[in-house]
Amino acid sequence: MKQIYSLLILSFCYLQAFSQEPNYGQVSGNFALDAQYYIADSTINAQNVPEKTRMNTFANINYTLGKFSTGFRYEAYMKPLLGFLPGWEGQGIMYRYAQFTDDKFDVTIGSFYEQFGSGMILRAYEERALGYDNMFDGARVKFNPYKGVYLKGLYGKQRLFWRLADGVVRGADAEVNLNEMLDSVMGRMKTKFILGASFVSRYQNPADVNYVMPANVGSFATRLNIIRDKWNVSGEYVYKINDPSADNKFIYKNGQGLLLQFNYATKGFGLSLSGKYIDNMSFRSDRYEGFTNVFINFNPALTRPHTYNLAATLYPYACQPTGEIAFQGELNYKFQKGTLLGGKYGANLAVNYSYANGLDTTTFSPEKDSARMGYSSRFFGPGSNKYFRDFNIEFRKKVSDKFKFVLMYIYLEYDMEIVQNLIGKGTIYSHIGVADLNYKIDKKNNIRVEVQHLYTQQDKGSWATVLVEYTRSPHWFIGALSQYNYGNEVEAQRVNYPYLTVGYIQNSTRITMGYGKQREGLFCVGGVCRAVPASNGFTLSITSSF
Amino acid sequence: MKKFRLLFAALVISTGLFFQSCDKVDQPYYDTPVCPAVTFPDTNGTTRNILFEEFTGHTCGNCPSGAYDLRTIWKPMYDDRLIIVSVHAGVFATPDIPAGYYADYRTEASVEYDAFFGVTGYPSGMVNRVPYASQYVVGKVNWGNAFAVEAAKPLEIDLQMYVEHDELTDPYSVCLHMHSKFLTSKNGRFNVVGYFVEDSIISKQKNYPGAQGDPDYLVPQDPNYVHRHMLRDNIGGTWGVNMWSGNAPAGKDTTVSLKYNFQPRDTVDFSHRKHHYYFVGYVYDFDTKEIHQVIEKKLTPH
Repeated sequence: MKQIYSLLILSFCYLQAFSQEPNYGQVSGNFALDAQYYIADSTINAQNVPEKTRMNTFANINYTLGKFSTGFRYEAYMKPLLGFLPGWEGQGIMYRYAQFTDDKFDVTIGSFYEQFGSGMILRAYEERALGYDNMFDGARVKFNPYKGVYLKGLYGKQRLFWRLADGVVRGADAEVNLNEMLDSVMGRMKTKFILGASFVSRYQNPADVNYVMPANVGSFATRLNIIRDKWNVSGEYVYKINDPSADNKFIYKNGQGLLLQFNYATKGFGLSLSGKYIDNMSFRSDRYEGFTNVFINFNPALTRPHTYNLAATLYPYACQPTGEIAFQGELNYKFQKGTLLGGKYGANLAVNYSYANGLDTTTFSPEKDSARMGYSSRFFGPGSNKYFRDFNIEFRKKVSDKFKFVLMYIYLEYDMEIVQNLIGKGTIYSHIGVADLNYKIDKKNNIRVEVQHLYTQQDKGSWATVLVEYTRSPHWFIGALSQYNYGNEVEAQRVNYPYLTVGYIQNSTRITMGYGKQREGLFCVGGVCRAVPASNGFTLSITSSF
Repeated sequence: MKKFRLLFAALVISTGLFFQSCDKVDQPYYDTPVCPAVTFPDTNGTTRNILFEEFTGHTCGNCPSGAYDLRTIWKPMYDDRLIIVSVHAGVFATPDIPAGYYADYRTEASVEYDAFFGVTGYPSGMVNRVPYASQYVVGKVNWGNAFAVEAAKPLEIDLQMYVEHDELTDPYSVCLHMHSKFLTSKNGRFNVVGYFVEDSIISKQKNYPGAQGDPDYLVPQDPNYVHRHMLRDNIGGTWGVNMWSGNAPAGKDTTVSLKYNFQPRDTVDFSHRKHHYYFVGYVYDFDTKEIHQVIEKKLTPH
């Protein structure tokens, strides 16, 4: 730590001393604070919080001077908001870095985030709302030795709350844009080819009382992207050797995954199809870790990220890195102005279907499995276990200068036992309808009404939601939300969850205050989810950037 | 340009070294020596003990009332003859992260027992795995009657158990030696099973107020609840290893020795936690599931 600070100070001195003109660089950053005052409420199972209030906050401070940049992030979780893992409790600086970038080199020491390809072999990122931060701490070099050739290498440990995980991760990635590299031959070709390959290895002390552990676990990936006019086709294959871990119950089967994507887009029409096969591809810095801690890789979600409240937080799909097969298709069509559905301003239709099943596997009996392979699986073969189905259709239309609306229907099938590990809950079958109406009263005043209904006979039964939001530009907004679980089989649990918000915006600063009941659910981003417990109380949120 | 070439070469070499960073393991199990043979004294036990496997879970608000009865009524009444193991299984044992129940105390065996014996209500448990009123899983109201039935039975298979633990050279493993002896002739398939049991684990437990829960705990969701005699792992698998199959004349004896390695979680703060570690061994009829004898030993004499 001390050496890094010394290096930063020396770097400043060096740059100051050799500057030809007074140039003090540029400071930028952002700040966010989320606090909540909790009130115990037995009607919604909101627990008593001894501290009454809890707070998550952070601030990023970055300094840039020419090709040099440095920065840090201060974070404080005192205590972490409910739903965040207790390990976050504390405050301090884990993220700090120094970076030098020029045309061909990019060198970073300290903390950094990185992604190779689609992320199926390596992806470090942060998503604060999830309590997800698997940054690397170490060194990274990016090198562009020749036009169209991009190389990356990294060496580091990953963040585990307020310490670094045990494992050491080493990785290298190469990407070649053939059209750029061979510009004299392929430079004018309409079809573009981009090739990539990655290798990532983790070292962890193999000492284990039960099994002979591999100290070094290697994984490689290869990818290809072909682009021509309106077409874009890409694929990535990833393979990992034996990596016994708590995730796979310490089996020694190799892991593999394949991601295929196809996109076609033209004016007023878009089509995308994708498929994914993941088998035993959970890859973490520490074989004993759980939850969403210290993942080296990332399992891309092939589901539509819903934004409307009921679909987004009651039954969102969390990817299953131990094994799943998933497909998604999405069609976007724009009805042109002057047509029957397009009317004066045109209209947009989006149809989306996503599918996830378990793998087609054969489990080995322990007596005959001396190598602890666990099971065999059929490549890209779906098993009979349905994990998730989502069919949704969305229609957006602007009717006049003042009025526009969105209508949406969603059908979900959701295996709660698999996705949320809630034994006995079974599969949920639900129909969701949404009407989002927006009326612009005048240049300054806008009102939006959102009505949602979820019908199901499983879990907690049906829900109805109404949101009314009034905005007075450019500073103020106020909203009232009511979520009513009127279909709950248990009469005492037919609870209404009212929630009021008021917010103020000044330039890049936004302050929001809320009060009311929030139901328990899941919050997901990109197939990674965090449980959100029921709560009752005041919330305060401040975000700002400079 | 020369600098770039050098760097490029360095990167290629580094990548090559990375590719060496793979360890393929063909034999995942340690080539551990078999537990050394031990000799047991030729004695005949006289008292038949009772194994009570209590099904419970940390989000089961009624379950502490069962633990309370066991602690205050049944254990004082039967003393060492009653050996209690808490089996965390079922929907109430799953972690509930939003509510702060982070721990997962289920084991591979506990899940199988829950499914096999068909646990439907809590608090409940099995008394020597002998059906009472045609049910293996006995509700709290009938525990006393079921204990009385089992306590009156004669001992037919004796069991002695020795926990061999070398704290200096191999602190994180034990050899569990179980010596059974038929006191009457019997015919059937008989297995022995070892349980690793941890006592006094402090973590959150839902507890309904008053007699619905444990009245000694006043907090409805108590983070300082003391979980007693919890099943942590099986030794010999869910259904154990065969000790005898076929006709066994009276006097027939057999010794089974099983090596057990503590899991990493058990080795943390081992010097302190080891005083809460127990081993339970039992011999049972594989076909009827009836437990004939059960023994409990502490890892350390303290």
